[in-house]
Amino acid sequence: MRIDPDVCIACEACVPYCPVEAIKMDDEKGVAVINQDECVDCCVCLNSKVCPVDCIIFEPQPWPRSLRVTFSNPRTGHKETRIAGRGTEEMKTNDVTGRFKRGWIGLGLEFGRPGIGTRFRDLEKMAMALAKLGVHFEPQNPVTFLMVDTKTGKLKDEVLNEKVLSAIIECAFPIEKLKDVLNTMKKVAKEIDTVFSVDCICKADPDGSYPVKKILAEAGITPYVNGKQNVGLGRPKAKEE
Amino acid sequence: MATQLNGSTGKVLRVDLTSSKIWDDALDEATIRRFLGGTGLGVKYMTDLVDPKTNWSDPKNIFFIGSGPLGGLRIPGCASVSVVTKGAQTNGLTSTQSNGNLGAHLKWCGYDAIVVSGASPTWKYLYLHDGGVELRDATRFVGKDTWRTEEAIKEELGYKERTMSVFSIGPAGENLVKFAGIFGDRGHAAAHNGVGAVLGAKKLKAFAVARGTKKVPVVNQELINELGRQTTEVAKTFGGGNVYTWGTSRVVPGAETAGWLPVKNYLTNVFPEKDLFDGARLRSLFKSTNYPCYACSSHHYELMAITEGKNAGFAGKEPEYEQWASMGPQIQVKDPADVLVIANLVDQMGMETNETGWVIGWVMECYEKGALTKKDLDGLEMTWGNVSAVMELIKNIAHRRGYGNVLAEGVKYAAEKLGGEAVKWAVFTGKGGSPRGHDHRGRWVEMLDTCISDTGTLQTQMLINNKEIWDMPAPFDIFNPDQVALAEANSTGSMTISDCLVQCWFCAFNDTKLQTEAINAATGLNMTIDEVKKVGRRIINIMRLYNLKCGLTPNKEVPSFRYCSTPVDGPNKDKGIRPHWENMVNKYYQLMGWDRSTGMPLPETIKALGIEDIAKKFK
Amino acid sequence: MTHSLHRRGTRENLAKDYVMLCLPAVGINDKDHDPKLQEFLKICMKHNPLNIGAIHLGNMYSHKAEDVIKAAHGIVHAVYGKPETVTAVLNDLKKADLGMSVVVSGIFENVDQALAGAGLKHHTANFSLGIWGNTEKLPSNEILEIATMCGHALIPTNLVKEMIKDVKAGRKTPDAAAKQLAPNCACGIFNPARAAELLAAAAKK
Repeated sequence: MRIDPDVCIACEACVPYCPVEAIKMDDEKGVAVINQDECVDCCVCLNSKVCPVDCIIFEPQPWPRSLRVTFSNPRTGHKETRIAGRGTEEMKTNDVTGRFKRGWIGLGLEFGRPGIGTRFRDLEKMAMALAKLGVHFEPQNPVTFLMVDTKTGKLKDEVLNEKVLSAIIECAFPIEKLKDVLNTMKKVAKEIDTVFSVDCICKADPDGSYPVKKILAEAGITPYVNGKQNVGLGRPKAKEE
Repeated sequence: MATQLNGSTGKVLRVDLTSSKIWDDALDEATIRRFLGGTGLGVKYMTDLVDPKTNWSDPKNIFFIGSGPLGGLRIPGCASVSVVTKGAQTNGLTSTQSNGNLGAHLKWCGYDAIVVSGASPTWKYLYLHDGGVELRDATRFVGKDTWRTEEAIKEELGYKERTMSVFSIGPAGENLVKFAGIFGDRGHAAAHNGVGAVLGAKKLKAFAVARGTKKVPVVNQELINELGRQTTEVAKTFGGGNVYTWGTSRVVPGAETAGWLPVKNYLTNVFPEKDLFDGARLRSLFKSTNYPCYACSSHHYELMAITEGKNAGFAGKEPEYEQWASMGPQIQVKDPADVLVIANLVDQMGMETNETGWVIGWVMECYEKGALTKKDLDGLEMTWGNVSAVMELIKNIAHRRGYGNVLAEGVKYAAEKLGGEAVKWAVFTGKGGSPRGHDHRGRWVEMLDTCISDTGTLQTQMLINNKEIWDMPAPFDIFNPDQVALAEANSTGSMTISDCLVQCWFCAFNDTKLQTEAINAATGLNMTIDEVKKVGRRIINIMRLYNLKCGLTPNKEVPSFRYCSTPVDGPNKDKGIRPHWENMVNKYYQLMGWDRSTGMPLPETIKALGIEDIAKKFK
Repeated sequence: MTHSLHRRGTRENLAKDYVMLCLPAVGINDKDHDPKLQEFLKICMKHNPLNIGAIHLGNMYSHKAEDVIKAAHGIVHAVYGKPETVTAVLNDLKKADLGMSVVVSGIFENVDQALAGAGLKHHTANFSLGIWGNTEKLPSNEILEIATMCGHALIPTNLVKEMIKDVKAGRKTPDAAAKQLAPNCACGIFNPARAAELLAAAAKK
């Protein structure tokens, strides 16, 4: 994104609209300026229509910068997955896709969320650490598409410095691996610059209980009191194992 | 080499239209300390260069248009300009301001102000940009209204929308209509006291100033940024933030309730349609787009378009309160969709809205009472609220066609020429400056101000943040003559400071403390609040000394018969100002330290303000 | 995208916050799914939602509700303040038998009760294990409670701070401030009613 310096009236109305504080007032130029390196092309400033003189401009950028808008502006879709937003259907359609079976855990690590932003190099650290544990990266996920090799979790070099509002590593693994995965996450969490929100997906057992809760309790992790549940209205139902 | 001046470009542009010569004057610290800039600097130029006996239309009159020490800085409201000249209505000194971006653009092109002298043999416009100054041929713009002129000049010079300020006169200025103004940046106006006619006499059609790139040096940039933020806070909180959110668009209903809405030429104070004019309604009824000036985030100035219903397809600017008032209740036009169109026509013709309202209201009353007939009015049926007749009359005045030629001289002249009872129906002042768009029989302080003023319009006003700095009476009984005189006297200077900076009132609300800090952060002059207050007072007194020599003597400081009549209805029924007028003016003079019979500032007043040299010149 | 997960809050203030999503499974039942998602939104509108959204257009605070419905594609959302309303919507959805997957986001026990009321059982859950990493970079909790109601982080921290300032100064009511934030959330899962309460509480501090 950029601000047209010939038109900007330095009213500062746009400044609070940047989620990553990339808009600052430039004393030399007397106008607002967007820091190109920090800007994630989310277009919140533009879409808010707060600029009284319409001087905020978005121009599509070449690869790899083109990643920024795809990941940061949920109104744009990912070409690869045909999904708008940052990721996949994950568990939302599990009643139909059966993606997450009993005995497996789905994990989503949303780097940069909430509202901090992330560069792909932080995702790579985590992806490579998890790959060592043999997790299965979700093929339909846009970050997986950026991997050079899903066995190692290494991302393409040219994307490492690109900054986005958030990006998600999605993977799945047998529930027995959960403790090791959690420990690896704790370790890598100390090495990264940003934050990440953790999603933990579990299909309910026939009696309605979620087997993952016990393991989380043993690991000393208390999930939020609120979360998401698929209510089983989708058709055709996935085959039950 | 001259030392770096902070808060200033160090230069005033001089243009002589007779010889086409262009040169620079250097500014110095002493001048800035004494006069600040804007109105103050303009008054200095007037007293230095223009003999009071000079007629406003004479080439020897100068036209000053300039910014001040805060111009072009990121403090809200400081992109404005002040115009100082000898005005056409009073033939005395004038100080009138316009918002928009001209002041900022001017400083970024490297000049604090422009002083135009002489008169051109052919029509010209002045073009400033980073690289220099040009006097260009304006023949093909003559006859164009102010909006068309703005578009055409930008097109000729290749500038897109906000990269240039164009301020121009319309047909009214070209035809020396006594209440013509200068309009630019999509309808901002410096229009009091016929300053547009001065440019018409000089054959200068417009100022076109590009958004330059020169940075104005300041002593403390961080403090300037902080004071900019504080100014925004003041703007957001003063008066509950009403002006910040709505501009003056919501004033009409409350004005009617309080009895200071001008209705039907002061014949009544009742306007049943007042709520139709509430800005909260109008800004959703009509399509309204915010169009703020540099560094200002308020929603005061809006462009407005009608998308459905009557006059659908019309696009212009949202009228200011005074335009809603003068082209609405004052002339009994009751549909805002009509007032929007009429008000924009007045801007486009380049006329001052208030005097236009006093003229048209008087014509309508004369028509109703038979003092003026359809024949006298070139076939126009000037019944109250007749929109199409009003539109025609406005154009006739702007072009001095038919009876429009008489009306173009202003309502005082037209009424006195017609004579008889009709003189008693007109709203005007003895000095010639037009009252603003209110019924001042409900705002005594402003009636007093308008009549004694030496600016051709307001001399002071009551919107002051940090009122205690100016010892304003609190509480203030606005119908108590002593308190009125006190409020008028004590506040004198507060607005003048804003006019020197040049800062829009609706940003810092004339907060002298905040402004003093900003002056010092920009210039490094370390002035105290008292010193800054003194500048305001000083300039008022210099204007008085000068104007007395122009013949604007105390005997002219009177309201017209209708202007000071007693309301017959409304909340201020029977509150008559006439019995109190003399005492009020006496008290005011006493507080100002002026001689009641001559109007002159007393020797101790002159001494206290350090203007003995100027007083000597204009003895 | 788990945009309706990680909504930060206490049991008390989350008790009034329920998000419903409806979407097809790509490659399985997504052929001609737009009318089904439109029907979902129409059903939701019958129960006075606090917000609805269609990600390609926006929500009912950035656009008219009927335009949001017209733009339904891919995934759509609705927000409610009471579990009973969720039950009522689910009952209507059961009758409509759209065949689309539906997800409810909220306090687990309250949502389960809502499901029971419609004779439904939860199928799969997504738990939030909170925020990890360099958490010093996070804003205060009272800001997070408001901002995390947009899972795509389109409600900027600094804008929430401005709104709290405006409410504190009496320049805006909490409701008006919440409605100034709402249009930014493209999916329409932002809950302006809850946001107004949170803004009012934050302004009192």
